[in-house]
Amino acid sequence: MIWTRFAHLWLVRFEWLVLAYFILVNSFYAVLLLAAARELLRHTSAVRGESRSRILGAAAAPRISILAPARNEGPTIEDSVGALLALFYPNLEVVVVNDGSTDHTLAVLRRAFDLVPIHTVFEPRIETQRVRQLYRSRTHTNLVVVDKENGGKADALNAALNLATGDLVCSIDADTLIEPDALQRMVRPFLGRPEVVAAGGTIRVANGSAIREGRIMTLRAPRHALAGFQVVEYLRAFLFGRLGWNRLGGNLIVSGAFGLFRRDAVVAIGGYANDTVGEDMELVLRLRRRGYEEDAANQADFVPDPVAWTEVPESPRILGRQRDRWHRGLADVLWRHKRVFANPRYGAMGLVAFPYFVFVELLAPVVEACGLIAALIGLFIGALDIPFAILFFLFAYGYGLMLSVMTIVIEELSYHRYADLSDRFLLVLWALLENVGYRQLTVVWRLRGLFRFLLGRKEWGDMKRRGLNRAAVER
Amino acid sequence: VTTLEVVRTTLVVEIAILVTGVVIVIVHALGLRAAQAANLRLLERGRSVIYAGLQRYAFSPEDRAELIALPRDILIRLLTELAPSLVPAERDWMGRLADESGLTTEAERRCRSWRWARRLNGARLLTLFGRGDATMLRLTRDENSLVRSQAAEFVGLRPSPEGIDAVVSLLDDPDPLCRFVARDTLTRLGRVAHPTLLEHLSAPAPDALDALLAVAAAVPTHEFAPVAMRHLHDERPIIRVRSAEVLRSVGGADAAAALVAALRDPDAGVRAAALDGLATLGYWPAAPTIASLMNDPAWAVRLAAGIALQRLGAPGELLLRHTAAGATPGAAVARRVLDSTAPSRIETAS
Repeated sequence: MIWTRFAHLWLVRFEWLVLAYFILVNSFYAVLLLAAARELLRHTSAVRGESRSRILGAAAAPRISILAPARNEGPTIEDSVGALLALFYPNLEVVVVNDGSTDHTLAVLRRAFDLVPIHTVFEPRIETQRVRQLYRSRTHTNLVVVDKENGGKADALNAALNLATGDLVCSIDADTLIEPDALQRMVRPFLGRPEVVAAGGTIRVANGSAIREGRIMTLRAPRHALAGFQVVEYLRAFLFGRLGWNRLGGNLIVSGAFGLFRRDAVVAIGGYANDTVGEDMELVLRLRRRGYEEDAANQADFVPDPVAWTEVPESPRILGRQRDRWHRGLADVLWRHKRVFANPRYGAMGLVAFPYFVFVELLAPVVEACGLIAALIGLFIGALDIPFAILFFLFAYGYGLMLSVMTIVIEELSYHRYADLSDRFLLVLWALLENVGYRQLTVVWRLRGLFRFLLGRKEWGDMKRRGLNRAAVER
Repeated sequence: VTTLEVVRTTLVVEIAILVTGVVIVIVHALGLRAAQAANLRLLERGRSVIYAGLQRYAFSPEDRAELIALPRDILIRLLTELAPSLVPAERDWMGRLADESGLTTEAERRCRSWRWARRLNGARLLTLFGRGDATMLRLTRDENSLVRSQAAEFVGLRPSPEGIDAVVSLLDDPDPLCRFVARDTLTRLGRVAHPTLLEHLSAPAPDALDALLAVAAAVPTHEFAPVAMRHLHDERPIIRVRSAEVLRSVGGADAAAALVAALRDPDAGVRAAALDGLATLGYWPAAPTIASLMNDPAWAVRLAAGIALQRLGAPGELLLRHTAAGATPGAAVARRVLDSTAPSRIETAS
């Protein structure tokens, strides 16, 4: 009996702790949402009626090198690279890295773009796996292909960095589809703010949409539930999360699928780290740290209107691996840069953003899981105030849903990309259902990632893609 | 008030916000669809009037009346989509249409607003219509950098001596965007900007000399050569680099001689810029001097020397082969440069 009373006492205290955590986190979410709305308003005012073609069709436009690592991307590589070459930007170079593919990726590239071997003169400032051969396209002189031995995504990006000649480098995943004018939009913060060292654009989900020749022809909300939930997640992450951070200390993450960086700064810190699965976040943190330490550019901005489209996993197994890897990467990067935590030397990054990522992004699944387990134990030993628990659950569910719906409202009032009314209804439906089952699954995956981080696991796992064009055909 | 009641009340508020959100999405979507359908009809009508007028090279009073009768936002959309395709004479017609419809007055009124977003909007409209020179000249000194940039862009479309002078002063603006747009505008203006640029470059201690020289290199004229040669002895390496770039663009025997002298500059960047300049000018008498820089301590200079020799043609290639055969630091660069000259031969060989 004494054990039951002891457990009862501690459970009540723990539940209060969870409640306090919940209130704190959700209050911060509300602040982020308001900051995002304000930032979006400012951004919209600045870009309305802007003549980008006049300003950026300019000889003075900074040169951008797109770094596109590809491993076993045979089914999609031709469309992806073709779309990159067709981007509307006046001073562009595309560096594709075939990172030891075991499929026909290189053969497809050689045939599609008429590649010839070259021995370009370059200074290998960052160490990488052996480069077997460099190629230049005879049909597109701004396309360079690096064929190298497999060394992972970070190594491939470093190889591309060694060859890039741009003032800015844009990292993308080879299967990402960038909108034609996205680079013109993305370059804005670098032109206007010398303190910006990195910028990220919006990643949107292309599953279910009709795509032709690397372009979205008709945007549709996915009919597949798992992809639909991810659309809501991505909208929330980008339109309110990252946009809000622009006003609250800057972003710690610039998605590896679509990010723009100052090349000299990236090279100066030795490029991407090879020994982490969160290489995109690690790079941003290292760049920003160096900026603060050396009184140089240290801001990472999110720009909402340049859009890149990606294919999200529709299989729970592959999605689980992806989320596991993301969380391992997050844990690893936060651990590596633990000195930033609550350190006033790093300004708002150290005092606000970093602690947020530790307490909310990293530990949320732990708190959520503990809360659920405690609730179950409480129910079992009769220590749970059931009406309160039900109301609390409804409140938590409703709050999450409210944030999702508010993000959809922001999307509707600002970009309203989904033209069809049925797609909007579908988005709201996915937002309603996201918290039942899917959210709990992501908690499990993230916990698994955290556990595997503690075990020191660093493998990537496979991401089998159907190819965006096929996705459209099969819809 | 119990905790339960607090949670219950919050829940009700939440549901209310949620329902409001969903209603906003639906109402906005329906409203947008209705507005798009209504606007489409007006836009189509406006487009047909404009295209017919442009085909006839004349607009009747009826055409003008019909366009002016359109809602302002529709007319602005029409003019915005039309502007990039118009030649200057047609743009003038567009400006008159904006005057007659009151859009110019409205835009100028917006330019006086205390809110930067409205001033920016007004400035963008005036740029579109090609109207409001005095207003836009005033806006080159606006407190908001986006507005100043827009005013600089306007000068690029409607240049005046005062406007160009104002844009040159923006080369030294604290905001990088203004500096970028100013540089781009002057580059686009080309020879129209020559007198103002020369005047500023010839000043004893010009502001933003770096940017001025960069613009001068992009829009070269032989008149820039003497000032560039003077600045080639500036104490700041970046100014010497830019001066070398100007000399490369201007060309001529004097420029080549000055660039050869710059090969002995203590700064590696200046030496590399001079090498690039000599290669661009095809100044082959300098080939032996360039070859000696194949063993420069700086990698960037060795590379620039290799590429310069390659670009000089036969005499350069001969010297490259000679360097490649040796065991000096320049040999590796020379071999790579030689390799890169003939990709098709390499492919055949492999």
